[in-house]
Amino acid sequence: MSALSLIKRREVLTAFALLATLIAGHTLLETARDALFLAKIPATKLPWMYLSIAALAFFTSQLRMPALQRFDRRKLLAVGLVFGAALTAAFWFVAESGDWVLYALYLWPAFFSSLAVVTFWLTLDENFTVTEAKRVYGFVGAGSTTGAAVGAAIARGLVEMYPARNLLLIGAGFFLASALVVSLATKGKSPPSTKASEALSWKAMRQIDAAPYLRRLLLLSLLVSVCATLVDYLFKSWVSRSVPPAQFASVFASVSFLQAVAGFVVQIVGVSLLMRTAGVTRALLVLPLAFVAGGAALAAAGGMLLAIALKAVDGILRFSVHRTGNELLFLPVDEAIRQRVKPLVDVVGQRVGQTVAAIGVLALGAVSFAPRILAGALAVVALGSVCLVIGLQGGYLDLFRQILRRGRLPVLTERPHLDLGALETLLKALNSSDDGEVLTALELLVAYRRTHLIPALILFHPSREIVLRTLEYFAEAERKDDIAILDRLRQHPDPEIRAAALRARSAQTQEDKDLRAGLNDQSPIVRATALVGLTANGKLKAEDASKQLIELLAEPEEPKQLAVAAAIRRQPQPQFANLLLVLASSNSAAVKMEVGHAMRQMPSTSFLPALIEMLAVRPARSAARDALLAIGDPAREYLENALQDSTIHRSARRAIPATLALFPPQAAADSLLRHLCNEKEGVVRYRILRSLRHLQERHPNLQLDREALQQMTGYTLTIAFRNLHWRLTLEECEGTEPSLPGHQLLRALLRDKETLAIDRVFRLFHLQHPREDFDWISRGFRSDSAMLRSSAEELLESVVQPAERDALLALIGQSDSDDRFRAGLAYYAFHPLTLEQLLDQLLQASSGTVRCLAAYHAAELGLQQFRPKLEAIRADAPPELAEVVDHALLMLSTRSPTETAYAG
Amino acid sequence: MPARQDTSKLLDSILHLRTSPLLSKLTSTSLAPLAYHAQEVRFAAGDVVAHQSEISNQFWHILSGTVRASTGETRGVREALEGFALLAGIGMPFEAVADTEVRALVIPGDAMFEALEDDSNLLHQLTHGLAARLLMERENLKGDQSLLAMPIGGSKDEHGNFDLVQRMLLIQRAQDLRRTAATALADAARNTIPFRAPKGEFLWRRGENALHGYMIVSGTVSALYADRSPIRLGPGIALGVLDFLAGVPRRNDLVSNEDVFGLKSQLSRFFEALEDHFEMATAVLSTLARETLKVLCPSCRA
Repeated sequence: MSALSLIKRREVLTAFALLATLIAGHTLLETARDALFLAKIPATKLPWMYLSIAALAFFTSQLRMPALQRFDRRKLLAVGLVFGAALTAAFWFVAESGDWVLYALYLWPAFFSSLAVVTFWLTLDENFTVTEAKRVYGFVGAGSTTGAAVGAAIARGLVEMYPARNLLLIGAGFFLASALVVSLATKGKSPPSTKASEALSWKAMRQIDAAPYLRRLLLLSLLVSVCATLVDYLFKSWVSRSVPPAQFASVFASVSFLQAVAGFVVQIVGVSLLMRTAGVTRALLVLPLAFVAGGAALAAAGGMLLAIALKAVDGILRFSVHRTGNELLFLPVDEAIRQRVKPLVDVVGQRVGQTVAAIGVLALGAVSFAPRILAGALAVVALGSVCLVIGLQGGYLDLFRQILRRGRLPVLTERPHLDLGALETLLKALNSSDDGEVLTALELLVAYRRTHLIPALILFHPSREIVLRTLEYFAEAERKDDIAILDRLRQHPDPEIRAAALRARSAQTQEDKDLRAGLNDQSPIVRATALVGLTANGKLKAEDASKQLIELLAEPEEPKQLAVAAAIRRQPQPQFANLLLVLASSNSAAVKMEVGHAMRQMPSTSFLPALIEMLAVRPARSAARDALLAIGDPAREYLENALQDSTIHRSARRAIPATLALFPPQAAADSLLRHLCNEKEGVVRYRILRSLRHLQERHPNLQLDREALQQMTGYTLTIAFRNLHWRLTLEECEGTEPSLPGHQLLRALLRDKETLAIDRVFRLFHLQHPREDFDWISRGFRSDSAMLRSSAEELLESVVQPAERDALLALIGQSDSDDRFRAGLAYYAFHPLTLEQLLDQLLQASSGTVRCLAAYHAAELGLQQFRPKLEAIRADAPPELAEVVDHALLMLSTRSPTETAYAG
Repeated sequence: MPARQDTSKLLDSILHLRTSPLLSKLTSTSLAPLAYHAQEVRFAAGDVVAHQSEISNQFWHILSGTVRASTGETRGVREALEGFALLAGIGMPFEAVADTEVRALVIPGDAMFEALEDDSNLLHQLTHGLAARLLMERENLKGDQSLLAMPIGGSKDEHGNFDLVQRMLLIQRAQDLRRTAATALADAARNTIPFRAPKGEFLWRRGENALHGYMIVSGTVSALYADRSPIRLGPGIALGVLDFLAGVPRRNDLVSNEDVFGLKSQLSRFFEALEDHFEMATAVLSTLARETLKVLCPSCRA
């Protein structure tokens, strides 16, 4: 309750008090009713009473519907309680007027509770999110057990001295007190707006029918009600057969007291703990499992004591663990639907369950009274509800997933099917006056493998770019219907178009006439193309061609280099490998890209160093990756080694994880995971995680080493806690000066590192639980919406191991620092630090930036005691840190603490 | 995946988006996610298309028709709608009204930013498109305004051999990088080296490829043009990045008027840094879009 606002705390306390007084009165009323009824009426009549209660409840629900629609719910509750008190008191007057009064008295508590208790919980549901509810419902529910204990204790104490009938008057008093609590709590409050959707309506049945989750909730309510009715019947039957009527009230009061006291203990000690550790759905298994065990034992051995024990367990668990869990199951349901459906589920589930049980008992009673058979039936029905609860988990979590995904944009996962209309659209776009539109249409037709549908006449398009691109596409598709146009293009004034036409033409025919003519072209671009074409056709020795090409490339002009690379790409020959390596050293990104494409056509391990370097050049990266992929396993091994090599260009190293991810998935994933645990650079670790995620999305059956992932998760949580600890210490410890620029930068860096570590933890969770969308869970935690945050928490709790989950929740939560570190104890041992200790630790951190900022901050604070430490660090510091330390030492020797070296 | 009958619509949207000046260099693969979320909207002449100060959360591409501000202005209105206001992270600088019947494709801002985060090619091309537009608009202004130099806050005359922390602090003080994550600042600082240029040294020459950005901490420089008066700049300015972002060679000579000291950054790493630090990328996009709107519509509060 510590994180609740004052207003919410008051609401919780009021709810507790209200429920306690209400249930105390109800317990007194029920004890009196059972004792008075069974003393005069045989237990065999009980099934008829169950049926009557069910029928009455249906009537009540109809009565409640218009009332809930018209009146303020809290006022309605107050009026209902006053009416309840009056009628209970009236029963005291007429209790001995005949059997009809006893029948009416038996029905009265059920009628009353179906009105008052349901209205109470509905009012409460309006005020809390699922996270708040999980925290406070246990406490509010304890009001029920406290009230039951008080009521039972009063009953137990009085029945020895006074007739059971007198308990009715005391019960009426409690109802009156409840009405007073409601009135006081409502005083001065404006009534909440009553929406039409909140009304109990039979139309809601259709909504239940349409939603599998709600159907299951209804069925669960029904099965638990069948079980509870059977337990009640078994208990009362055995008591009425085994105990003298004069002691009925004493037995019932004792059992009620036992239920209440034990229930109270469970509620206080167990419910919250159970909900948090086992989760809602697992906690809901407790009662059905108890029914299974109790039913089986009773069927096997029989006996009043077992029946009493079963009744006690039912009372202890149903109104503590089960009730709280059941309320929580409804919280992720859309509020409008919940308001409409929940009362119906409660009423229909409980009362139909009662009816089914009553009919079952009557049917068995017609044959012969066979309590053991009935106990066996109880075990079977309870087993059904166990299965149902197990099946509920998926639906429950799905509702939270839906909440988190509300407003999420759908994703285009694959290229849509090309139908006739779409094809028409693309062909029409080829006539567009906008070159961009034409280029996109060409690109899409090629992507859909419809190059043959591109009209050859487009080669006469006025746009140079369109003509060159089309020539490329035609050459790749080996189109042969454009020979006449290609011949004409060979006379084109633009040398690049002439060269491209020559390439396309020579790829179609093995004739060397055109190529030889090309050798005499005035443009070196065309001559280079001709040389490569002749070599590819075997008309020229590769050595001779290479020699001439190298001469041609003596002056490194981009168009010439591009033309040679493109020609080699079209007609790859191993003899041109060296020439490609020469071209790979070009400064032009476009040439590098073309070289990458050419290398792909003639894979060779000799290209590996050049290709790794090309990864650093963004425009050439994709071509380099394709070429590496074409080389296969040797390239993968080379990349793995390069990832460990700190001398590789930083940009190239950072591009390696995504490149590795293109290789056969399992081998790639294994390589990446191996490096994840050893990688020092945060950006590379991040990119490895991102690549692993992409691999997993593309290959859902990928096997990732869970142990390595868990180890990495633990390590990352440790890093996050350490950064949190450092940051909080920096913000809170004495002696620091938040306005100093170094302080601000250091604090921002630590926060940034903390955030990045948390992000990596989410990514690691996603790799371990790929079916869950941790992106959206992470976004949920960052959201302003309490509902989204609690949904994210609920999903996280259901999927992730408790230790990791608690640690992550502590990292992203808002609780005070001690609690946060306690939750992360498995990953980080918290010891308070002084400023000096903090700076000491920061100066020894693995991050170069942190060390630099720590040195700077110590100097800007004028901490002279750090001079020897800084001098020691200076001795073997890398150049970057050495520079900062030099500056820091200078600051310490020349400036006072208040004079900053570089105030912003 | 869209239903079969939607394929034509999707391809149609891809084809249309390719005609947007900011998206014209993109492949269909980059355009597809945007086209998937694009919705066609129509407005009759006189309809209000967007209200003033309304936070822009859409990227428009006007297919036909014209728009104007309700005050009658036309400059900047189309651009504000076509992504500039969205990327600048500002409200609409004016009330936009359909001058004639307007037909447009509208992409939700969330879809645009998700695509930018996922697709480095889109980020690159959009940055390039915005920078090219800003450069063109600045060129049209002539005079001192034709050159974009971002002011660096704080004191102007600082000397010494800048270490990593000082470089981080200096970059942070440069306009619009105050909110940049500290790890991004450290990366950016590592990508810089201190430089000194004696009087009369050329920092770059006209026609050269833009390889470095400069932060002039002390001293002044002059941008020399063949056809107009020189522009005197500094100290406390950052310049030289826009040519690189726009993918054009230097349009002037930059020469030091006296001894100049500052930081020089390698621009070849710039896009890598944007990919690694998305917040920094959105800050750069925002600056480019906002500066362009300022030129297009000086009276607007862009």
